[in-house]
Amino acid sequence: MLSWFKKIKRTHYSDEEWVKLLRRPPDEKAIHELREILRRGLINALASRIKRDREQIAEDYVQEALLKILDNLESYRYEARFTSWAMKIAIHEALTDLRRKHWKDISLNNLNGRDGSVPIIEVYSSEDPAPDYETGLRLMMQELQRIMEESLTEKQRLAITSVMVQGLPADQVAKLMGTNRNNMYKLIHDARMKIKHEFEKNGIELTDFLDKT
Amino acid sequence: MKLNRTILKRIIRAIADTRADEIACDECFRELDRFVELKLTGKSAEEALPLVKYHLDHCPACREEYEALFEALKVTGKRM
Repeated sequence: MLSWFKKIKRTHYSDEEWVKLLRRPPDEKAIHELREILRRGLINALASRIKRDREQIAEDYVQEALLKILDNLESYRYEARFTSWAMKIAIHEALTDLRRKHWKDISLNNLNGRDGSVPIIEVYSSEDPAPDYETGLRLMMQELQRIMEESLTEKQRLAITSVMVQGLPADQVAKLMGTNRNNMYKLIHDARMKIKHEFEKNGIELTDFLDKT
Repeated sequence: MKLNRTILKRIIRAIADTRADEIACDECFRELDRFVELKLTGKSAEEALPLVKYHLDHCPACREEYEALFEALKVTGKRM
């Protein structure tokens, strides 16, 4: 992989030149070259996710990403190559859109219980044969449920059950809850901290539980 | 809503691993290009940016973007 750095250093422009050339009104040749770099990168990045019409789909995402890149040129910090920074934006735009399309049918009804409340979690354990294990599992679940009900806010409970239990994508759940992925991560992080603290306060070693099961 | 053993263990693991100094998605995104470049040049991205590594291990959406960026930069580096 060391050769990668040497190769990328031979790019047409320096990072400073890229920024200068792309400032409005952008240089057409630089735009064309950046578009081609993004297109090649996206086609490869999307290979495992999109099987049909990948080139056309990548082209559409490149167009959207270029606008975003030009609008955000001043936020480039010269810590990575300019083309790496630009590609990061293109990837983010493309994958956010793909996730949004894939999960377009989820609604707040999927997140809440039928009566609109945050759903109660119950342990499903029919496949566990050992009685000791069964008891440990049930006790752990009961304690987790108690902590969630007593210590977390409704928003935190909803976020935990949607993202961590149901496995729904954080950005889509965030959108339904009127926030964004970054705030959703913080919300869940605060909730995890609270739960961990409560377990510790009650003398329950989570790593012991994980080791034994 | 019912939980099976696998999901319960995953949740307990995430709670047990929780750190006070975690970074959220925006900060991870700011460092992601540098992280991938370090990986591509064979340097220890995990040592240089441990909180990014932690975040990528615990945030599926950011992980997906990291993997895609890695694939993209691998190929764009080759022809330059």
